[in-house]
Amino acid sequence: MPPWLSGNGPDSDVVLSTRVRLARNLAHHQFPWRASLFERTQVFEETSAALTACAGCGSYEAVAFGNLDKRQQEFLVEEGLASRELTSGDGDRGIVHDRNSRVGVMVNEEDHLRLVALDAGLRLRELWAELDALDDTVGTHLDYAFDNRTGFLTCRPANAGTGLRVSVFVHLPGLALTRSLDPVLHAASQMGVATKSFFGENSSVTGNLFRLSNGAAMGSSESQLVDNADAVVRQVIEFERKARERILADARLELTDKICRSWGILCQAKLLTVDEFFNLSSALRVGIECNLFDKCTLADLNRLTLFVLPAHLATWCGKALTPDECGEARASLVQTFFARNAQETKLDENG
Amino acid sequence: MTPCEHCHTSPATVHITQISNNEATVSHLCETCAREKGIMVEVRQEGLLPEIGIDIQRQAQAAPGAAREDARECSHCHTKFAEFKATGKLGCPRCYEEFEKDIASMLAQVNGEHLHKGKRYSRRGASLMAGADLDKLRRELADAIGREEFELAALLRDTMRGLQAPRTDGKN
Ligand SMILES: [Zn+2]
Ligand SMILES: [Zn+2]
Repeated sequence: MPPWLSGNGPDSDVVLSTRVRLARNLAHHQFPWRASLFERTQVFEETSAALTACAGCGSYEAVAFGNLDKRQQEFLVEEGLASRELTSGDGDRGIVHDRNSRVGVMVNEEDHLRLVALDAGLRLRELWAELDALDDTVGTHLDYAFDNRTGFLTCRPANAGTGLRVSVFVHLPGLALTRSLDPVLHAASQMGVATKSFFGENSSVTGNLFRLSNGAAMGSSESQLVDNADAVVRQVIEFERKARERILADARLELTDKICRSWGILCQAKLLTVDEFFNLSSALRVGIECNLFDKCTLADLNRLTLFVLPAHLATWCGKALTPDECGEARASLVQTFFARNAQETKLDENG
Repeated sequence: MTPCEHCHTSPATVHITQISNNEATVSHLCETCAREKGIMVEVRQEGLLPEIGIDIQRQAQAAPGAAREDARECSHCHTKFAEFKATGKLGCPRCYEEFEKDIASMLAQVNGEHLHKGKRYSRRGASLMAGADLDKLRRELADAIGREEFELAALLRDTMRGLQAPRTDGKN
């Protein structure tokens, strides 16, 4: 399991994971969408050679997307190191990542390079420091497109400057239940932190999961951007904790009821959609986070969060699935997982 | 549409969130009442970055000779300005010079700023390269001072100092 799903980082009662990325391009090549297939191959070879060879990068492994089928590509997207954009492109492209799947570089995505670091819990400063160092090393081996006024040049001008995008994935059931999501997220947006849906640009909100990101990539230094995002996210976390306290004080029984019902459905349902799974598991998550529920852990739920997604589910079943089969397979996977979990716990207790 | 909390007539288009004692309160006002209360009204798409493509479109529609503007292309990668307008994507790093003015005003709109204040970069491979970088920086510095862009000049001076100093720890 990738480390960002371990469920035990700092502030893990609200924060699932943190992701930091830097966009970089090579000075003497056209951006991937514009470049010929030949030029994209050149870029892919240049960057993966630089990354796998340079000292200080640890041991990196290159995965060429051209050699993978669609399901294998989707699998990597679900794991977090690759983006959907990477699966829809053609020509030479892929990811170069460390052994733990914690730090990686996407090559020939929208930009020539997208350096990415992700891990569990709130770790903006830590991940930024790591990515900064990797960027310094990689930058000596390649020739980045940089302008003294505009900064690092990117395919979309909105990313130019620092090329930095920080994202923190949070679970906000307290704010949702007390109907205070809008004012809090609006305040965050006024302080330069935008909210997006957890599951990418076009999906509707599911399971009270959100992604908080910096808006501007220019006008302040990277560490100022990181510090500002960190401060705003910490305020959102405080609001969420206050809201949960209020619910526990005013509606403990109702909340416990919701958690137990959700557990019941997850254990008994014969068909489950992704949406349903996320909404039900949101209730279990609050239960664990507020010490009201102990039949599974956050790490268990995170693991399931990954397993119920289409490519992982198909891999588990060993074949492509129709939408109907997906619902059935998902319910059966969830129940198999919990049953095995309960058995292991019993064994631990006895031995 | 919710009416303005102050005049109760015009629709409320300005939503202000105030945080005190860890409680967030929201007030809904119309633009006129908000201005009267001394609140700066800045039109910005809520929450998300405004799509660059849309912004340029608005500018280009207002400008006379928009068709001529659209037909311009980058002499290096031949991406047309119209293409950039439609997709929000530039074709190559040189496009930034070719469409310099348009991009600068767009960046100022999106970020409230169009000067990069973060990491500096210059390739440190061969010393020959560093020499070429220094010459280029010297020219850019003279230009910046000539245009009275002192913030940029200060940043350029820092970069030059970093290049001239012997490299010790792998950092600027
Ligand atoms: Zn009014
Ligand atoms: Zn170009």
